[in-house]
Amino acid sequence: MANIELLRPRSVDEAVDLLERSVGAATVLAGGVDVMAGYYAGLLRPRAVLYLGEAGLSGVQTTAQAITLGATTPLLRLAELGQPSNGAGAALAAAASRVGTRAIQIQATIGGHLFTRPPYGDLQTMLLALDARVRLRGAAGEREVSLDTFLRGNGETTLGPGELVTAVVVPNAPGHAGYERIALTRGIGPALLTAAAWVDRDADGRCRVARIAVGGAGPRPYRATRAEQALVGRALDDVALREAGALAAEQASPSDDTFASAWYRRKVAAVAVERALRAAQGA
Amino acid sequence: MSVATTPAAQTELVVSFTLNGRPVQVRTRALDSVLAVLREQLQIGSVRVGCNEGDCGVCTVLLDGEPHRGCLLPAFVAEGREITTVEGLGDVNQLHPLQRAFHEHFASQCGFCTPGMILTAKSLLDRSPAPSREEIVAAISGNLCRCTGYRSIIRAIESVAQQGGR
Repeated sequence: MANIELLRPRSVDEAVDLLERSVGAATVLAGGVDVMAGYYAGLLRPRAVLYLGEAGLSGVQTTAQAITLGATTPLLRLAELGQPSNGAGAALAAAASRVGTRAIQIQATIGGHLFTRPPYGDLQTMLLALDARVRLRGAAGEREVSLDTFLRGNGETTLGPGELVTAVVVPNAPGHAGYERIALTRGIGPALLTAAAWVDRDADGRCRVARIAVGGAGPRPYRATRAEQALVGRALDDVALREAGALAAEQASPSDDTFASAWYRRKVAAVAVERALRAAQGA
Repeated sequence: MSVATTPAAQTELVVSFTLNGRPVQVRTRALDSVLAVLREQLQIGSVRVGCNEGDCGVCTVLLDGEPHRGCLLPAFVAEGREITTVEGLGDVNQLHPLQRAFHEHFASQCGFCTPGMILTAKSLLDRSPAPSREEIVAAISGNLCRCTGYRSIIRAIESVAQQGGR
């Protein structure tokens, strides 16, 4: 086996520089969860590995406008963002604390999580409902894209050649989140389906903003846009929530796999969305 | 062939860390795992090869006291840090309270998952000396056991927690 070159940048600038010079030969390594599993399964044979763990990309910055998650921030750090108990931080904590177990949350990073393949990657669903953006750095500079644009499905993304994810930016807007994770087992094991909802209501209780995302019912988690539009301006009563669940399931494109049938995933998508919306109405 | 001629590039790595209280040094390559290095170079047989993709937990090690998947952890990341395996907790003559409790409560049948279970339990008790049953169940939910049905394992950990022991 050929020796793999290990590149250990000490800053983002150096990381971008090394990535550009490696012209496609380097695999980016952050926490190692996907890269190590892929390497030992024989699916990944990189000539070089660019390790981001020493590039200063870990950390959480919170302002009134946004929560900025450095790309190599471990999911455990997100799971600890539960205070205050509402808003975007609590939403991230609720979803991150249910990814794998502590050992996985310690190692897995938020940046790496954007590249993980189904059936894993269920925190992506919550990030979509929070309208997260992905901050990218390349030789040409910095840009931001919405996560919805970034994800292409099955672990593919719109990341350009020579570009790195440096942060995930989550708007700190008013509202409440709800999250539903359906799985066969607790702890280890993939989710069958995840649903995340973000709801902001006016003083009369009518829905001002609704964002709904569903994971596990297609090649990538998707925004249930028709369900979102149907809720705006309405009181979130049982009828409205059930209708939103049904509309969200209509947009699903599930397939049969080892864990569940397409039929089951579509059925459960409707129920999970309804529950997530109910949970998102806040106290 | 080098993809980037720079001081930041390395192919063979010399990694030094503390293993069960004593300093060790190994030669590794970029993606050699802690699991591979412990078993193949340092004769640590308690850390097992199971699924090799992070699901089963039989390769659990403590890195600076926190549970990690040995199979998913590149060995070079351990540089300057402390790795603990069950060999570092106790031996046949002087069992760690968790080892004794697993024995007394029949919490080990085939024994394949036991080292990982004990290390996971140790890290739980180190950060939360009096965990609830729910917390114990959540903590070990990443360690598969196909023999015991988990109840005896939970009882063993509960018994140590009730003694306030580690």
